[in-house]
Amino acid sequence: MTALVSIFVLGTIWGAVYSLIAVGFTLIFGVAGIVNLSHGAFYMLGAYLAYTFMTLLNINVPLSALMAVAAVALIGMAIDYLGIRPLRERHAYVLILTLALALFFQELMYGIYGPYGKPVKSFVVGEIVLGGVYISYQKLITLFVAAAFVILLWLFIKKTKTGKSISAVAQNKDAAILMGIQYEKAYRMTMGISAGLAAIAGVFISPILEAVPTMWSFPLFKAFAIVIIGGLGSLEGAIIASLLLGYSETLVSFLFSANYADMVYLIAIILVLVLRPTGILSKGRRA
Amino acid sequence: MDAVLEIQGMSKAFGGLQAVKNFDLQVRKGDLIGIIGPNGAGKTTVFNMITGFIRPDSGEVKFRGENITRLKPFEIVNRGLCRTFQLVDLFKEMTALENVMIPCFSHRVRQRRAQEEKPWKTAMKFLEEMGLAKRFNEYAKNLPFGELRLLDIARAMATQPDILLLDEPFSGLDVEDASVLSAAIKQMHQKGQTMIIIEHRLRDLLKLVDRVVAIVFGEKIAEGNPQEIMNNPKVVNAYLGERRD
Amino acid sequence: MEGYEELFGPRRFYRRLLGLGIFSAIVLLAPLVVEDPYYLELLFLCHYYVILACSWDLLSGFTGNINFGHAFFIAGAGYTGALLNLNLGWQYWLTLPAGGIIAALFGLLVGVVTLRLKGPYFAAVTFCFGALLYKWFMVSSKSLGGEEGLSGVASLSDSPLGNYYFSGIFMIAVVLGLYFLSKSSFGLILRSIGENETASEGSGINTIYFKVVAFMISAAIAGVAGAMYAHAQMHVGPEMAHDSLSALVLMMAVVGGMGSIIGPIMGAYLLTMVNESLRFMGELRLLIYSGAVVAVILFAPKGLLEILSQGFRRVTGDRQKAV
Repeated sequence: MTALVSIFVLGTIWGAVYSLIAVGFTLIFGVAGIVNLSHGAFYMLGAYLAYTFMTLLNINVPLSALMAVAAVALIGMAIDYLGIRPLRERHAYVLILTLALALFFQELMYGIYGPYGKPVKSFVVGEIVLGGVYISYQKLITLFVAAAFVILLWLFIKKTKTGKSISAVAQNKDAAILMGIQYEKAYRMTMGISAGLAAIAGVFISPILEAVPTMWSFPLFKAFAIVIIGGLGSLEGAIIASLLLGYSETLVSFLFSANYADMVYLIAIILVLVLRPTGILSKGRRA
Repeated sequence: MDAVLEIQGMSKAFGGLQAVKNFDLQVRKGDLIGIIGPNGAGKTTVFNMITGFIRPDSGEVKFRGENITRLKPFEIVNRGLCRTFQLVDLFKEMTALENVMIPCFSHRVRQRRAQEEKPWKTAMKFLEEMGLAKRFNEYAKNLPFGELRLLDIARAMATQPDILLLDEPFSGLDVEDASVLSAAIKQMHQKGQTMIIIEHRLRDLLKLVDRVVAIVFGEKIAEGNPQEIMNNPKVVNAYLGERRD
Repeated sequence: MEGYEELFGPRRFYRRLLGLGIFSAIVLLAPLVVEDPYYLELLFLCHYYVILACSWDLLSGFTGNINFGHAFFIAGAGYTGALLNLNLGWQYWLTLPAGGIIAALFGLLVGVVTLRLKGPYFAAVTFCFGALLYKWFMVSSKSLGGEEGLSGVASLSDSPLGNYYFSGIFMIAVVLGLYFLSKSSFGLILRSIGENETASEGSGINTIYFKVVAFMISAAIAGVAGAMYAHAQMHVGPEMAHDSLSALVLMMAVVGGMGSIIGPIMGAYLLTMVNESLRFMGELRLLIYSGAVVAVILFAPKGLLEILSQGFRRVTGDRQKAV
């Protein structure tokens, strides 16, 4: 029984974290049509900035979090403006460029912070017991924050004017232009939002997992798997797929080992792309 | 009647929309047939189904007696049925000559080509036929639009097709380029090349073809010689509101 | 109609052969000048990476589908060679071909699986194969040595000089083979698939066949190189399947100039040497690599080769199409 609760809770928490990273990724994919391989780096930068502000500079948690997220959002927009904008139509180059950027950031972290994991203190200390399972407050907070932001994003896209214009660009760029929507701005804003969301995930995860320079790759590729399963540009799909991945990984980890859990998303990507190139939950957008 | 290409009962629906319904057509050797119809009538879908890029929901396409409905595009080209594309994309970063060389490496052409003749020589001949010989070393992306269209036709001709399908070859052309194209098509027709042309611009088309098929909302509404078609009330109706020239 | 005789005539062929001939001569004669085993080992690495980068380029540089999992083939063959050597006592003249065959089969597998995929999807699946192999190596401690890998593989030759020549001759063969393959109809067809697969199909080309064959050739060559490396290092480890190796090979080809075979040669030599000379900077060399790749993509996407040939053309006033 404890096992089930444990799996469920952990799965949900990880699902929520993944969804923070994945919705940003799917937005960019859906809106700008590009795959941003430096997306995982935003997550990493969030974690490292949290370390820098909170542990090194001893700034209080809320302010640190705010600064970290804002900084990463700006970096994201800068990358879009300087790097991606000139290459919009050349997808192969964008792939390589963003990969190189991700590696660049990785090495930058190595250089500045060294190879060892950097610890960040939990924002709230302590744990509660749920169904015989100990769950740290940090994990709970992460869950709630993730859920809150995903819902906020969903509301933003569906209800606000800016959000709807972003959605319009995603569906039909040319029509959006005709309606006077500035798609460049939409792209940049989307980049900023998705970077910010990834950074939030990084900030809240940093007390749970240490900050290491290679931490950008697993969330990136898991986000990719999630986006493929959930369908490009589909927010709902990303959320559902994130939870699915969270649960399956936790289950596999419990039944076998963490190493095998790490293979779940890899196999998922291959299976989905081979069997249904448009994604399982997508509206059939061509891969 | 000795039909080279026989299409029977071809239909295709996308989602809830019936794009093509029960399309029939018989094409004889040496025919020059035009397919007309308002935008979105399903003309290109018909081409896509004939050439294997889309699979029809029902119906059959028979080429020289063989059922080619389920074949892959390259297999159909290798049997002698080739098409041009409405949006001329070609191989932008390759020269005009290289563009026309690609078909020369297809299985069909490899078999037919004289052993001694180098592919580039064969390709040059097709460029010459379209009047593009002097552009052979020019990158396709640098060619003016009219020449790009002719290049696409040269490419298609290089597959040595028994039937050539041209998809809106006149679209986007100015008067000068259009007359060059008309002349080229006439010449190919005189040499006996079987062709089917989809076109939206009626004036250019009706002067060239022997037979016209009119499609509206995916269905064939009329078939006959240009004179009959121009006077057919159903056709006139379909085009009412559209610019008639 | 001037000029097209020259473009396709024998003169062009001999010009290219000359260039590569000079390169080969330098490679073969260099040990007369370079005797320090340290440099010979460094050059061995250069040869190794040239083979990897060129084999990668044949597929990705021409079809435009970026392969993020080249290490899958390298490590697959590397481990195969090591296992055959350790368990069956096979020497390199058997393990290298065996590795190549296994790698070709891997190439067949990935090629077929990715047939309908393009762009990021293609990249993702190729990445996954590499990552899965890596993880599998990491967890298989009993049979495959786990994190430590397998040691005690028979050496390639008994000296750095021997390794240098073995790899050098292999590299020359690969470069010549791939270069002339790329300039043949095979290369042109691959490029047409990369430019516009629909038009290529519509011109009668069996794109499935060419894509899969390109995969198999690319994989086989990388595989033989991997097996060679296994013998030279006398060891194989999971890092051979790691995505950083795939990324490194990719970057070498991109910086040098994708789609040319010649570019990756320069990229491989350059980045390997830079790697060595910056060793004192530790991990920062990857910083410079990735910085270099970013700069190249933004300012000279066709790589060093393009920069050089533009410069060359400006100097000689030669208006001919690039090599």
